[in-house]
Amino acid sequence: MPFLSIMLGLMSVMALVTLHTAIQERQRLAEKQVGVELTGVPVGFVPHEMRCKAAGVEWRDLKGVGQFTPYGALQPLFIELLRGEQPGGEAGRLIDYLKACVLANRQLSFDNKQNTVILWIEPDGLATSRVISHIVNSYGWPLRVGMLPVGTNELIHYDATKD
Amino acid sequence: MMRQKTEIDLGALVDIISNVAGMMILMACIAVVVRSKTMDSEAPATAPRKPISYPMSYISEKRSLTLCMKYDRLYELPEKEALTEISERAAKGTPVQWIQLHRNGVEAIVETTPTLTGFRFSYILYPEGGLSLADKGEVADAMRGIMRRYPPDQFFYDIHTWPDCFSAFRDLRQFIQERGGEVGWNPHADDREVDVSYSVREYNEDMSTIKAQ
Repeated sequence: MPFLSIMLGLMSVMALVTLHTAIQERQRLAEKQVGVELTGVPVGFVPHEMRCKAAGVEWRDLKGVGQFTPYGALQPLFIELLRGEQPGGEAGRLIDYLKACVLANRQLSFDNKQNTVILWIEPDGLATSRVISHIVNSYGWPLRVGMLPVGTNELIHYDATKD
Repeated sequence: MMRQKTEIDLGALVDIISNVAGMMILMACIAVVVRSKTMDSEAPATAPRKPISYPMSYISEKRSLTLCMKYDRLYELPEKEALTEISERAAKGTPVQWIQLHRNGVEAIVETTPTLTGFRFSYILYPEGGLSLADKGEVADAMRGIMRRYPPDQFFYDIHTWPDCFSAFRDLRQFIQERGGEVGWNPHADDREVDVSYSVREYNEDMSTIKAQ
């Protein structure tokens, strides 16, 4: 019994140390985190910002609600494209969003405006950004795609009033 | 013979249960801390923000100067030297199919394109070459020198960037833009046999997708 008590005591200490380390790491990251903001947007351009990570792409739908499409969900998309099928699921939502941006450009053009996509690329998110570029290219959409680097510790400030 | 009766110490059982419960609570706390960190994907409205200028929204008509940022170093590619050498050889009447150069930690291979209308440039960057990005003052001086040799009113700066240099690239981009230069970039993900490869006067597929750089 004393052995069991000692073991449990040690495990409790380990758990406490882990909690302390987790809190410290969080504080360290919070201190290092900086916000970034897109500036100098050309007149008439309406940027739609997406964040490309290794795990997938973060984007906001036209209502401003945050969405995430995993990288893995993008692969079936190209199979569906090859089969001539309508993409569904998580990738389908992303396609619908991009398509909506393109279709809205027709109306926006009367006001000398246009939707553009800005891909914020994290150091390990290049593959994801390339998939997005390929999607736009595959459909032949008249949609400008720009790229900017972003650090993993950087938080993007989205302008909710842009639309 | 009397059988010895085993007694169960309930106090120890209470210890075990309370320890396990305590650990579960601690684990839950850790999960909450980690979870709340991963959910912070957006900056609060009041947080200080670093302004990042919009990417180039047009294809520049200026001549391009290609630079590279890899291994935390800045590389200037010997394109001009290679073209000069080809030009000198061609002037002697020697047919030029390809040449190879080594300059400042960069290996350059220049081939004549099959269409004979242009050249294909391939570069391999070595970690011991280029200029270290650690000394920002030295990088600024070097960039000022580059901008004197390749003035921003005539040249557009195309920078091939590897992930270890993303942050440094943004500083350099801002430095160039503040001096009236136009900057485009090509992010690279992995190590290939040839680091940078491009052609002059050949169709570039990437240009049809990335309409803004």
